[in-house]
Amino acid sequence: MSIDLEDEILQDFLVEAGEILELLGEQLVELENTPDDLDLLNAIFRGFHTIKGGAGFLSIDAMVGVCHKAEDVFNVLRNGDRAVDTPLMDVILRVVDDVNVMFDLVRAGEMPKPVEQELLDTLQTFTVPDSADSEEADESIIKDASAAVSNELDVMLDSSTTETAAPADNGDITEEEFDKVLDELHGKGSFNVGNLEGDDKPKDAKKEFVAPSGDGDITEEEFDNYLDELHGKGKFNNSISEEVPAVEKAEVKKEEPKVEPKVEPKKEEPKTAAPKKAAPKKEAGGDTKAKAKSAPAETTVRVDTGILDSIMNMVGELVLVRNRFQTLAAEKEDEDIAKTVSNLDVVTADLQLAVMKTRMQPIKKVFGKFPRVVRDLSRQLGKEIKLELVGEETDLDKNLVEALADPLVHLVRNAVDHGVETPDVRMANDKPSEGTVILAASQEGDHIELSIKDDGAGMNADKLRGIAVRKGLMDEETAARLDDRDCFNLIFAPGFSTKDVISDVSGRGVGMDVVKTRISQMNGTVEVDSVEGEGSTITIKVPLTLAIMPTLMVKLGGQSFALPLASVLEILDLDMGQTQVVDGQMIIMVRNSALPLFYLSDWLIHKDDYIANKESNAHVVVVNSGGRQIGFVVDQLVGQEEVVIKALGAKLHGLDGLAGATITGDGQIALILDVPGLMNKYVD
Amino acid sequence: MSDDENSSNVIIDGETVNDPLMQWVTFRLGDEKYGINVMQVQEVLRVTDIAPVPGAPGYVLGIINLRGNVVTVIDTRNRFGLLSKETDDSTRIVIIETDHHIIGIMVDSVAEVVDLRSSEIETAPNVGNDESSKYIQGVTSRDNELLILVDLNKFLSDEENEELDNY
Repeated sequence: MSIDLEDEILQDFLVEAGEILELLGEQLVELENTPDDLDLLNAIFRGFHTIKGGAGFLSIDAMVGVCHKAEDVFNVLRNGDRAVDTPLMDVILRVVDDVNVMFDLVRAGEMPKPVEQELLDTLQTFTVPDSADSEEADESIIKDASAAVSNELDVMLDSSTTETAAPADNGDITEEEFDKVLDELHGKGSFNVGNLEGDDKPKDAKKEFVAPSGDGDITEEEFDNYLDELHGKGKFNNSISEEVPAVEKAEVKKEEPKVEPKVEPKKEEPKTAAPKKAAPKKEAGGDTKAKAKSAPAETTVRVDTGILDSIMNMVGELVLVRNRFQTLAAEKEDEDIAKTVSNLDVVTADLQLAVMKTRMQPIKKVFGKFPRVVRDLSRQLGKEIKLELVGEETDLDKNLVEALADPLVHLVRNAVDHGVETPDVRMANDKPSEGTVILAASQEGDHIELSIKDDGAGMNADKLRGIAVRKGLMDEETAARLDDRDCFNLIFAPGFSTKDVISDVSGRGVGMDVVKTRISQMNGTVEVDSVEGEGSTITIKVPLTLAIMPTLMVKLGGQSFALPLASVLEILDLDMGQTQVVDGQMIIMVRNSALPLFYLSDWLIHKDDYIANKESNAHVVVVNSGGRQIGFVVDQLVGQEEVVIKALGAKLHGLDGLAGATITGDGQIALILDVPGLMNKYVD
Repeated sequence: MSDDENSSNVIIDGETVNDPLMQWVTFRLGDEKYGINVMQVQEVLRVTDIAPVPGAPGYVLGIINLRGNVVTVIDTRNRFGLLSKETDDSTRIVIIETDHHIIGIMVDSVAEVVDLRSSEIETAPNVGNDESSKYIQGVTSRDNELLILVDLNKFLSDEENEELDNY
């Protein structure tokens, strides 16, 4: 059976459930550290319940089944009838993995298969309380829940009024009509009724639902269940407390069937009664989670990232137009024009910043999965590791968040596998048996700094030198000349691994160079520092956004080229008469150190009539490429310009040394150079 | 060309339903006249500044600024195995929209738009290894002159495959 991916309800479910699943992963690992956190237990319970509700609405029975069981388990947990322990966590984490797999299937338009019966059975064993019933623990939840109930009932009835305008108009609704209304809200598809305490066999809601209209008797409990189902959001508990507004109760409970006027007030009363009931609660400052969740929802709008991307593109165009205006204004020397242009400049800059902000996401999105990664890995390796996350709220561009995910996973795995030692080794070295990995993010000016720090064994520079020589990456002399820092950076060299044994986790020596490549693709840098015996720190710096880049414009043979400013160190005016050729390489002495020189035009300009002037003074742009300083000789320096990166189009993908193209202030095209790529292609 | 494009040109008067009318933009390269499906032509430009791209395949002339978008321009003469020629007043860049991208092809001149019925198009004679014959969809005779209809999708995607093979 396949699923209609066009369905809006399904799309909403995918978005919502996707977020919940992500959150569940984090919450569960958190729960392991704070097993008694009632709020957390409730949050997880609600998470499963919401997924179940949504899945039920879409008739994804496999997902409903397993979520339902998980929900049961957490119901028992939050009632304090059972304590969180490791076997339980293992099973629950497995459940989340399975649900994730199902979720991916659904996203791909396939109907997932039910999980193995064995998992359900295991779950079932955890739904049995292992301590006495404690109603008190539930009290606060019930309060929250009832507030939510009133709110939701209100919303629901509101919508039911609008949807069935006709019956509402004449103020007279029959019980049958009301049922129909509910039915409509209910939508198509069958539901599993939310669990009543201790009751965990799924019921067919539809059947149940029809029944009351027959005998005309809806119990309060049932009605709540229906609300629950209709809403599909698990924000309330089905055990009804006294907090539920009396009116509601009175009206919902229909003692005398088929008495028409009775139903009418039911539609009216809760509408007015419920909010009244809910409002004082809010003022009272009760820590109602449901409200905390729903309040900010009104100030946010979900926007398709495609739209954001296109807005970003348009802002990019605007920046280009502004650049053109600036160029024109500079020629005209008219004060009015200059003023207007500078106004435009300010507005554009603000707009650019604002749009950039809309695309910002907290790094938490990536960090969130690490507690789980570290937990699983440390268990697998028999290590005790505590992961600390710092600066989770740091915002960065959505594309960057996604692009950083893989490299970060790799680095964290490395820190766990290579960095932190096993407990016995740590004990022997007078360290606490539990190692710490700190994952930190912070904004530093126009870039983001990320660091992965472990308090493990650290690296031995001499050992790294030895490996480099053994693997044939360099000869002994070269290795000996490297300072310690350079040695640490050897780990980014392709094929370099400090592990003698290849494990599942790492050791193949392909990872770190990929990390480095990925980071440089984002115009970022990665550095490593280490103190033997105390641990290592890997620092990544990436720009805030990928879309707009400050560059240095240069000209070669009349054509414009843009050098990313991030890699430009300085600009020098040099007398080319002073150059020397050493080992076939042209160099010049700058402040007593040798600077290798390259004529960019040799690489980039293939015009027959172009001859670079290699005699007199020349402009040299000193750039940093992989830790080396290199001088690029250019014909003309134009200046600094913010450019919008445009991918090279058809037939030009994957050209080494070019990061893209852009349109300059004078409407010309300039190619954006990729310094590491250029060096790779033409030098190494 | 897809069925969609065919059907959009169908004239429904009973007789011609199975013999759709299609429009072709004709251009010249050397002595030959070629036609491309009008549905795939976005616009025709005079030659502007083309920025050469170092390291690009030989048949890529460079990139142009098309109202803020960067568009690759292909030397059609090179693709068809003709000697390159200085640009002049009649040289044009035809901007083409294919499945995935927008691309410009440089031609000697653009002539007109002609209507052709399917029945008027003959399948191209297989001329072996001729560089240009791979992209030919069919030929037709008009005003005592041969009009060669180019299959743009093949013209553009074939290159890509070749390019991949070269690496």
